[in-house]
Amino acid sequence: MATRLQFENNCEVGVFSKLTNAYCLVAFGGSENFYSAFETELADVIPVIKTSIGGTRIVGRLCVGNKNGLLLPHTTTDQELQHLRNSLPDQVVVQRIEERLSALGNCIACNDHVALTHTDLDKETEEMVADVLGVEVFRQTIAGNILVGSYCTFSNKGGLVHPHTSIEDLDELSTLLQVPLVAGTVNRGSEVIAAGMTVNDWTAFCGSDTTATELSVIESVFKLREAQPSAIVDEMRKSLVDTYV
Amino acid sequence: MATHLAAAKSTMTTSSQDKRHRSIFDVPSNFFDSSRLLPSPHSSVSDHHTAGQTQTLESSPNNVVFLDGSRNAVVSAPRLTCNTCRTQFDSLQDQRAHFKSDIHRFNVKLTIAGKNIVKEEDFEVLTSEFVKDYDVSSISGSESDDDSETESQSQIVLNVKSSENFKQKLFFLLQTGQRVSVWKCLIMNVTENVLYGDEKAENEVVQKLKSLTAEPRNNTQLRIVLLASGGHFAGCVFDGDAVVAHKTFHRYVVRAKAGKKQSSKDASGGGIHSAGASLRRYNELALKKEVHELFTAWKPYFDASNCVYIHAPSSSRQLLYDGERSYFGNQQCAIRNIALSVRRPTLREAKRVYSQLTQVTYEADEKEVLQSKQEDLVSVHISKINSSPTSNQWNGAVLDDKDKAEACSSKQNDALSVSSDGESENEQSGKSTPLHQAAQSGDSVKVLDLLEQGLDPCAKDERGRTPYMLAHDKEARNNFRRFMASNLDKWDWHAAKVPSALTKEMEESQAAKQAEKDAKRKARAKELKKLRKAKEKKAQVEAPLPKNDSKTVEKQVTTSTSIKGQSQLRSGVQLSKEDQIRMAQAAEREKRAAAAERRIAALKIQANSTTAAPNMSEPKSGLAGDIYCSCCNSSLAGKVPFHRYNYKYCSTSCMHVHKDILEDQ
Repeated sequence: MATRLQFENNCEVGVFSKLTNAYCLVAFGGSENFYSAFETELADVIPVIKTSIGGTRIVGRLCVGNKNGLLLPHTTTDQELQHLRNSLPDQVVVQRIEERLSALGNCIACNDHVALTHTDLDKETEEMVADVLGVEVFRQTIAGNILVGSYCTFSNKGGLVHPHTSIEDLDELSTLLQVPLVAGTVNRGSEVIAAGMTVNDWTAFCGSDTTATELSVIESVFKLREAQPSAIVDEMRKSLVDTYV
Repeated sequence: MATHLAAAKSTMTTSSQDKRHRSIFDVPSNFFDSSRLLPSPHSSVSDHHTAGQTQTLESSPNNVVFLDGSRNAVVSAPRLTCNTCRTQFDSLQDQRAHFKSDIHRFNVKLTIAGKNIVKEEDFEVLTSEFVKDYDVSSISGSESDDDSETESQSQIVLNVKSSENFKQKLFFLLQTGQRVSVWKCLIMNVTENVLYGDEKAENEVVQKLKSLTAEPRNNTQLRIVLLASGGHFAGCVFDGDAVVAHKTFHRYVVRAKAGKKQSSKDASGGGIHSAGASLRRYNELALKKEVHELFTAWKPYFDASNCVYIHAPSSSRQLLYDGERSYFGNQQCAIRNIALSVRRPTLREAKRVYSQLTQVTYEADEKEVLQSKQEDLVSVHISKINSSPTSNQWNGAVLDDKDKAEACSSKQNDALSVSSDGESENEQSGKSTPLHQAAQSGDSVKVLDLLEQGLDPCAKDERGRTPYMLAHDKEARNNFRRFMASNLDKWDWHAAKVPSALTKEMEESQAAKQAEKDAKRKARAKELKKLRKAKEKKAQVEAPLPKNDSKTVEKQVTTSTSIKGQSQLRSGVQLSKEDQIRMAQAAEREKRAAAAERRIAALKIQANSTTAAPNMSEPKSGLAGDIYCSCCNSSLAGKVPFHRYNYKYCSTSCMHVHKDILEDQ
């Protein structure tokens, strides 16, 4: 289910948090509310880690990650890196990368299998993304915006893209990413999708401005209604059994 | 008109695709038969019918104009397309591969920059021959440091070969009516002059080319390319288009951050004795040795070669030459310098240089040539703008041709020499022109020069700014307006964003106005000065001079110094410290004197016990009028007096009256 929340009276929750299928990063805040909202939703499934990146709280925009790994910008301090390494599960590879574009969250959008990246990213960064996150990397724009990480967000189940994306682009992208996509908004019409929400395969957190309509679109496209953390395992088991029998 | 354009377009596309990169060794041996040498790419030999012939000849049915893939595609669920590149794919794998490819990235960048995308074929051409052929990541955007760099990649598309200096090429008119060019250094020395008009000399050149195409390919007619610079050496032996042998060396001879080769310093005597310097010296020797060993090993090649192309700028020449004599030379083979720009010597670079050298390039079409010929040099720009609707669909090759036309026009403005070289074109898409640069640098003389030479003031740079918008210098801006005044109809001045013309009369009237203003200002300043002087004088006269003379003298001295001080201040010179101290002392003394006088006066009043106000010697003296109005002499006791200078008044009207009296005096 999707949850509506705020970070210190700010609805851009995607800026202050990073949610993946294997972990969740949350920015340090003045109050515990934000953190505890994640904690109640996720605590018994994945670790919720309070951190800063490069001394800032905009963790969601600075880093990019999925269940396989976490990429951090060069501004990340050694202490933060160490803290994240200690807190994250062992199978999650944490890597700091030397890339000129340090807001990796704005430049890269990914799920556990594919990633869309900014066209100006270094070749090395692209390789790093492919290796650490274990994804196929495509360079693309979303409705003419090069900041793909800001204007779209997608999980393994579905995705939400910039409202100005044309039907053709939508079809093309969903073919490319192999997930159903919908053009839409969050936070009562904000087109900066990824800043307004953060999502994984079974839950989503949206800014408290998000309308009921937006929420229902989000829940349906990300398939959150039927989704439970255990559902994935069940599904996986089913498919595994299918393959092996 | 439409059909005409269409024909022209198809001509362009085909000629660019299949003919642009033909090696001279690939063309049939009768290629240059009955061809004629042209002094320049656009000199006319033929009349109109050749043009028609060319077109019919070129627009054969196998010319495929690109189809817009996305238009034909059906919008359906699994959409195997790339909307950016307007292509379709057969499978998801293809699509995914495409989205990872460099051409896709390049096209995305072009689209974002608002440019037209390039097609795969052109992209291959671009990457293979122009975009740094070292590796594909060189077109990754992260390497670009400034914003002009982002442009440069797309400019590559537009001016693939704009740097070609057409003086170094030879132009031929084939019997088909097409114009082709080859590099001059392919068959003769660059410095050698071709006698255009001389039938025999021209025939000789054509004969040379013919013999080139008819050469047997049996390792008897080799060509060798030797490139050496900055510690890099590349040598490559070619037989026709095939590489027979090649070798490259690299040694550390240029010390990083040292600014230039240190060997020049060695030669001047004062040697450098650091470890790095000795490494460098050792490597210089080693490189030379290696190169010479290579030359001995390649002796058979050199013997079989009929031409050696070398590129060895400045001190690298020592690698290949001992004084005048080359280390490799034999008598029959010609040694020619490469007239192209050569990058770091590598095998790839050697191949590239060679393929460029031996390339037969198709020149601009007859139609365009005629067009640009009919109009004068200035209107070349106009014609381009007129044809811009079609130019959107033309690809790099066509733009090439246009560049060449441009190169021709810019040649005539010799003054532009440097800047016009690579940047003289102003496509619709926007490109900085020399005029932009001149305007931006505030070089008003050059601005006028360029305008007179016919550069387009409406041309927009990458960010859509016209030269006038870039001109921050008043004089440069005025030059635009002046030129506008004299050539009102020549350009669309509105599009050039020049606000209004600046005629001679306007300038004169402006100058007159300015002069008037100046005169007024001066007069006012003078008056003010006079007033101040008069006041000072008055103050001096009216200064209280009772009691002792020494005091008055002193006072006069101080006032005079103060006047002097003022004048000094006016002239910008600071008062000296001593003066200031002296003035302060004088003021102090005066205060004490005034106090003493007051005391004496009070005593007197007490003694007389009668007020004799009218008898007061000086009613106007500020000191005496302490308690009386300076004008009407009424008592000020119990009132708040009005002050002006050191006078006190009972009312403002008194003050005005007194002021008038003072001024009359």
